[in-house]
Amino acid sequence: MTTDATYDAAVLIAARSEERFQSRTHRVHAEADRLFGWLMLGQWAFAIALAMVYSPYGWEGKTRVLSPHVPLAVVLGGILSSLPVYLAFCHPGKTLTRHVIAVAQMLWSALLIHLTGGRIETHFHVFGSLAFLAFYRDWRVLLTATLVVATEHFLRGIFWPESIYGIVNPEWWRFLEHAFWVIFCDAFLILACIRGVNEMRELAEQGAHMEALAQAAWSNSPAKAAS
Amino acid sequence: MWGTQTVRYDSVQVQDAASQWTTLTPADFLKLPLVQRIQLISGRKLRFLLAGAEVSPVDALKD
Repeated sequence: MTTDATYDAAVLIAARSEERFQSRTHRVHAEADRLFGWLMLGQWAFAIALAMVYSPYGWEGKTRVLSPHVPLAVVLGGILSSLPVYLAFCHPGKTLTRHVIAVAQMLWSALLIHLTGGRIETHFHVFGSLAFLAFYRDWRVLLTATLVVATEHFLRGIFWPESIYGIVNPEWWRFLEHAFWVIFCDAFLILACIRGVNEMRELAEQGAHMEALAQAAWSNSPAKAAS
Repeated sequence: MWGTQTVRYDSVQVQDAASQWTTLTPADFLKLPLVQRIQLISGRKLRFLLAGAEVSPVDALKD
């Protein structure tokens, strides 16, 4: 094989390696999208059940009234889930899809926290969601989610603190404390994402090394000499 | 830093255009552009060594 032919063959092998990497990456993204599509629907049903059980029918005088949390869970939950579910099942693997899902997932945390009256345990939903978002192995998605949850905590902490912290007058810096733990969690998840992508890249390159070895064996084989 | 490949060699000897052999560490070898690595492998212009003994390329690169 001439030098030019060797170079051309190497470029083709490298291109196939890149194709394998891109294909694997797309599959990881698309699978995570579908997972979140089902999660969005599950969260919607859960939020409605939560609103009905946790915020039961109230009595005003002799009139039985529905808690305003139930229509809130139905309508706002539906709005929050509709676009991500559409994108997850109709446009899986796209960059926009996973960022929309990250935004929606953090807003779902906000809604669930509100429905439970700012219950501190519901804040764990944020950390679980970040861990799920790390399935994408795309650290940028975690940044989007963090920005949304920090902004949402900051704004709601100013305008409706009881909804998020369960008390009327929390310290003004409370959102910073929450943001710190989110960033703490992010630090490990971002490293895991980078590591996951590197592993996929190494696997793709390992395939290229094997192809090169096969090429070397073929070039020196009797069958090649006879052809 | 984040490499996860199990390295089955501790040095690589690479033959350059002037037929001179240069010794690289596994990390330096993996830092070479992929196309260059492929050319070296398919052109049989490298030798993998473990503790001074030559290792077959298949064994060296299987992980």
